[in-house]
Order: sequence, then C-alpha cells, then structure tokens
Amino acid sequence: MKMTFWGVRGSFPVTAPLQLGYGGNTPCLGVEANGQTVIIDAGTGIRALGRAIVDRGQREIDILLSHTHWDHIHGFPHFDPLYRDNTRITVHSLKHEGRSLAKIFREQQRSPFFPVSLDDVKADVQFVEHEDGETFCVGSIAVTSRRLNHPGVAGGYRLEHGNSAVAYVCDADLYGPLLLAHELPASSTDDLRLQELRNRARDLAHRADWVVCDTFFLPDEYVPDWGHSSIDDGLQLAREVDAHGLLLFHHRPGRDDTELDSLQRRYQDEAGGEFDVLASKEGLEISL
Amino acid sequence: MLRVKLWGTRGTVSTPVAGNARYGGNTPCVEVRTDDDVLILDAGIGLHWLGESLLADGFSRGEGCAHILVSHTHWAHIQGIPFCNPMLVAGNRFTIYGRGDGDNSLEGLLLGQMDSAFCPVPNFFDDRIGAGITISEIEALEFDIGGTHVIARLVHHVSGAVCLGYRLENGSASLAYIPDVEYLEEDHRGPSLELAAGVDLLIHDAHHTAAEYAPHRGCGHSSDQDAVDLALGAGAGKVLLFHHHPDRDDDGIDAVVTSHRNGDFPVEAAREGEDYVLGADS
Repeated sequence: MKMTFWGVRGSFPVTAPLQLGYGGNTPCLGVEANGQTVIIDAGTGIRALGRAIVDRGQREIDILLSHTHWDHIHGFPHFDPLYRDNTRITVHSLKHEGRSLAKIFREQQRSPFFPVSLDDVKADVQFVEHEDGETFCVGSIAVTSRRLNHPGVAGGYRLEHGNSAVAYVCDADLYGPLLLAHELPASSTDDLRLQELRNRARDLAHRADWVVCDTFFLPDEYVPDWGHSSIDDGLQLAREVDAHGLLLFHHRPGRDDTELDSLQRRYQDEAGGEFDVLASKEGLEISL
Repeated sequence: MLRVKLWGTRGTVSTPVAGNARYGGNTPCVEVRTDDDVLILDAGIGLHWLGESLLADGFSRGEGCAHILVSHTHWAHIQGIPFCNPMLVAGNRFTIYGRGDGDNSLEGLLLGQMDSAFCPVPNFFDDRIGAGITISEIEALEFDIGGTHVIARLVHHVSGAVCLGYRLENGSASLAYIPDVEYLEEDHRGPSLELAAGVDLLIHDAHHTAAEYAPHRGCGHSSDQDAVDLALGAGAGKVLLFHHHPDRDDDGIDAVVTSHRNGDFPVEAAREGEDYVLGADS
C-alpha cells in the first residue's frame, strides 16, 4: 500500500503562508494498492486528489468517510469525478441512526447551498452504511470500521493489505469523557461504554505500521466535549497497541509550520525510539 | 467614513496553496467599519479570522455588536459562521441579514448549517448559548444600520440562487459589494448599475477572465471585463476584482490587473489583508 496525504488540517481550511508547509486543506488521504486509490475522508484535500484520479482514469472510486462534520465532507461537491460520465463513487460510513448518510450528503449538495444538486451529477453515487466492527473489501484492501468517541456517528478505519496495516483514528477524544452518553443502552454504564470505545480504537490501531491519529490539541489546550485528542493521547495509544509509527493529524488551524516542526521533534524524543512519530504533511507519501 | 478591510477574496472554495498566498485563499468576507458600527459583508472562512481580530476588540468581553450582510447562501458565503468565535461569547450581539430562497427561510438555512450532523460546536443560534444572534430576512430592500444607509438589490447569479448585492452609504462615503453576478442580458445589469452608481469603491465578481468566459456562460459569474464595464457604466471611482477563481494564482491575477493598466480606469485585484478608507476627507 502507499498512503498519500492530501489534507491534514482540522476544523476548516487555513490559507496563511506560514501554515502551508504542512498544508491547509481539511482531511483527505489516498491509499493506493494494486493501482486503485481508496480515499479516506472528503475534506478540501479531495479537490486536488479528484483531479489526479481523473487523470489516472480510475472510474470506480471508494471513499471511506469517518463522519459527516463539515471538515470531513465539505470538499465532496468539489470532487471532479462527480461530474464525469461512466464513474461510480461509493461512500462508506458507519451506520447512521435516523438520518441516512445519503440524506446528509443531499442536504450539503442542494440549492440554495450549492449550484449543482447531488441528484444532477453525472457519476453514479452510492452510499453504504456498515455495522460497527464489520470488515469489507475495497479492491484488494480489507477494511474494518469501528465507532470512536466523538460527538455524533464517527468511525475510524483499519486498512490491511498483505502484511501491512494502517489505522485512521480521527476524529476521536481517545481518553476523555464519554461523548455518546445519550446513546447508552439502559443496561450499560458510562464507564463500561467508554472502555468499549477505547478498546475499539485500540483494535483499529493494534500493531499497525502507521496510526494516523487525531492530535488536534496540546495537553494545555485540551477542551472536553470537542471530541479531539492531544498529541500525548496519540503517543499513549501508539504505546498501548505496539504501533510502529504515529502520524500526527488533524492539525489545529493556526498551528504554523515552525510549531509543527518543533512538536514533531519533541514527540519523536518522547517516543524514545519505540516507534516513529511524524507530523502529517500535505503531499507526504508513505509506502508500506 | 467607511473603513474597509478584506478578510476573504477567493471564490467557491478555500485554496490553501502557496501560489495564491498574496491575494489570499479564504472565501469571501469583507469588514466595513464606520465610526460607530461594525458591518460585515459575507461570512466565508475569512470570517473566522475577522472574528479573532474582533475578540481583541471588546468582543472578548461580550460588549461587541456586528451586522453581517449575506449576499446568498452558497457555502462559500456562509461557511465561516460556525467558526466565528465571538458568537460564542455571551453579551455580544450579531444580526445576520439576507434572503432565503422562497422554499427555505434564511433562518432555516443557517440553522441547517449548524445541524449536529455537520457541526460539533454548540448551536449558537440557540438563545441559551453564546451571543444574541438575530436573523433578519430582508424584506424592504433599503434600510439603515446606525448611520449607514444600506441598499440591497437582487442580482442575477445562477438558477436557484437568490443573490443580493449591497450598497453602503455613510456620510459622503459609498461602497458597492456585488460578489456573485452574471449579466446574461442587458436587464441583468440594471440592479448592479443602481448599486454602484457613483460609489467610491466597487467590489465586483471577476471569477473568470474575459478569455475564459465563453464556455462558462450561464454558470453565474462575471469576467474581469464585465466588472470593469460595470464600474465604468456606473461611474464608480475604483473597481476591485473579487471572488478569484480557485485555480487562478497570484501571477494569473497580476496578469489580469496588468491587462487593464492602459484602460485609464483604476482596476485592482482584491487582496486579503488590504484596507481602504473611503470618504476620509469629508
């Protein structure tokens, strides 16, 4: 597999020159195996990736969506393959209770919010909602999705191909308070449910070659309820699951290149050689 | 007097690429200050950064008041609202003006953007949270905000979009803001000519270059030449080319501006961070 970063920024795109070294586009990754690219998330990074996919002639496209908060979907209307004939786009997510994934995407892409309605695009767009823990195949990649601790329906992914595995754990507050309390089954307690959610993140990341992890906060910036983790949380997860590498991801808007450079160095030291630590950067390619 | 500052000049979608850094990559947002009031034209991503600057200015203590005039509800013109942090501070007051599309009220559309499926942040249109926010569906097309006279006109954009242009007058200073408009027929120019008549500064859609325009006819946007023609026709003092195409980089925008250098009329491209003072000597 080869993983390429097209968008690494959380919340909203940033365009200040001092932040463009790491990049200002919102989350989007391409994972390539056997000549097919699988996309993770549809932030603004998907705009440039869409053009690359059209140039390559790929007409069967799968998008693994973590969740439907703006920064993970607002690039979708700008995805070039939508406007191409003979193209099939399948958007995957965890199962939504109530409003379907299709309905949420139609709400984003309709008048008077966007000039071209999702019903009028040329590509055939399908939406597939998966059960928590289900494993499915996208081309030659085996994909598993699990619910994470973030407001709403948010799922992380584990992608396996041959002997390599990548985990995408974003967005999630890994070690914070339970953010899904209203969905508790009557018999379970907050504590148990929180442990379950933490175990799901660990399942996804277990001994992965790389864990792409929501590390929005520094410890002294942490705000409960936002559903994000700190870089220290990311290191804790990588340690617990014996990961080989941690990719800091979903950088906070305003965090500039100099700060990310120094955070990368600081947390590489902190990992003490147990595993690699890299700050995700637009354009970064990692072969597995 | 009107003091104008540009916080977002890019059309359609934010463009975080180094080649766009000089003119800026944030979607539309223009701050207009009078001696007493804060007016804001459109609420693209630029609104986040304007919001941060307002926090340094009374809005962090809950003493701020601002009026946001939305041209239309395409994402690039409203997507900054969930990230406007002064709206989370109790005591601040915001009024958002604009128009829904007949089937949807402006309030319904803006609430939809804050829906929990899309937004993890608290819904600050909820009365119990943050600033007091009033959403004002514009009925009468002329009204006053403090000492500023506001004229709104429906302009032709793209089918399905209800799109407004604005004119602001304060003392002897005047500004017209027409970020998204296409003149498919002569009648379409009427509202813009009225808004821009004799203004000191016209901020106008120049999404396309004149050379690129033909295949995009009907897509709802103007060319640089349309903007300049309108400014000349209306007797505007200066025109700022605005709503830059996401794929037009700084050099491309420079080339467009240069092509008007011999036109004997002041043409500039809107550049994020730039400010203008209108009517200073009155």
